[in-house]
Amino acid sequence: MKYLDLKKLHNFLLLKFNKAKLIIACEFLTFIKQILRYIIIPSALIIAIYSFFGGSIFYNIKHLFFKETQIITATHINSKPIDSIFTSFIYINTTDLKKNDNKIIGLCSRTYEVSVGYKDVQSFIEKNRDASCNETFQSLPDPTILSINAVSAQIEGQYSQQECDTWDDASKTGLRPSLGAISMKLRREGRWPIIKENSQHILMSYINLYCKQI
Amino acid sequence: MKPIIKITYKFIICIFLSITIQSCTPDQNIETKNLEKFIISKVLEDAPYIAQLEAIYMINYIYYKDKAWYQDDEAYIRDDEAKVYYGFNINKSKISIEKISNKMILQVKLPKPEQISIDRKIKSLKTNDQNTKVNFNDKQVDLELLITTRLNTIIKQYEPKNFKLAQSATRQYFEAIANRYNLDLQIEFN
Repeated sequence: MKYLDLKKLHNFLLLKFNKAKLIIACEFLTFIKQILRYIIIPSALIIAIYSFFGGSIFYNIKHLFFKETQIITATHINSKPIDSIFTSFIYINTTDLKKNDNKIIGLCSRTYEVSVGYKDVQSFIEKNRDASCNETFQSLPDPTILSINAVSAQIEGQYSQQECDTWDDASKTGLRPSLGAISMKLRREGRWPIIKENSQHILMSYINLYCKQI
Repeated sequence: MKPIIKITYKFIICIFLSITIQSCTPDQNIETKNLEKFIISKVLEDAPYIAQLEAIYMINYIYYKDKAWYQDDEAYIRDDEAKVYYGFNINKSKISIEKISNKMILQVKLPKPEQISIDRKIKSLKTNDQNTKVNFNDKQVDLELLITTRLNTIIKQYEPKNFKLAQSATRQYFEAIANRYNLDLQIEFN
């Protein structure tokens, strides 16, 4: 295979052109040589190393331009049990009204972020494997509130800050009163059965993994 | 041959070789193909539940005006609710099982999560006086607009977080599948 030989080219050009033209040509060729040395060869080197050690170069280039792509490779996941599954997100406020003769004289409104789901799914599946394989989703347990996070509070009228704060104070009973208020509100407004059904379906799809065979 | 040019040729050959090696995929055997079919049918069956996240937004609007002791306080509390589903269009996903160097890999490619549906309703209104006028700076407030705007702001605010949650819930499901059938998982969200 022939390659670029600058000396041969130089001699050939010397025969054909005058010196001024040759100088320009040589300058140009030197320029190309510099590009080759400092840009093309190093980048070829980088790409070659990339493609040998880092997988597909197309993937890496794509990855540079589309930054939102998220790739998660999970290896050795066999040892990892399904601890909890998350089924719903709820943004909710509970409003406690202070009334006098059926008139509202004060209120405390607190807003929460609530996560609903199941805890210890793996152990539940293992315990109930035989029983749950033949059951329908309706017979599965209710999901639980996994976490609540107070976002904001609004206090009006004859309701004190202290009174309003007791909703998130767990020191007396060990449970935050807001937790009860949230689940009460969800049940009272008919929202809970829908959350429950959705959650039961999700749990069922996990259980089915261990029941259905190929 | 000049050494630099020699090296260049070598590297060019290297690049072409590595591209061709990567584009070659080993043939699937029947067992793998059956497992792949089974997993795809399982995913399609569970898709309405595992490929989406249910989010409920319950907001309230409170207008409260303390009046003199002989008058009733003006209170106006309205509850609003919206249910939003975030999820993936499972038909746009790609699920396959590849065998790479004696490892079975479950490859899942999912599209961008999107807002699938929204269902909004006004839940309740509590007030001392049905004729309470909600005024702000002596101007009557367009409550409908105000509440809708607030609800939309909150939905927008939580959208990125809920997209992430939908992704992690879906990932967990595929992890369980891979775990069940002793596969390694490679999941990609676009």
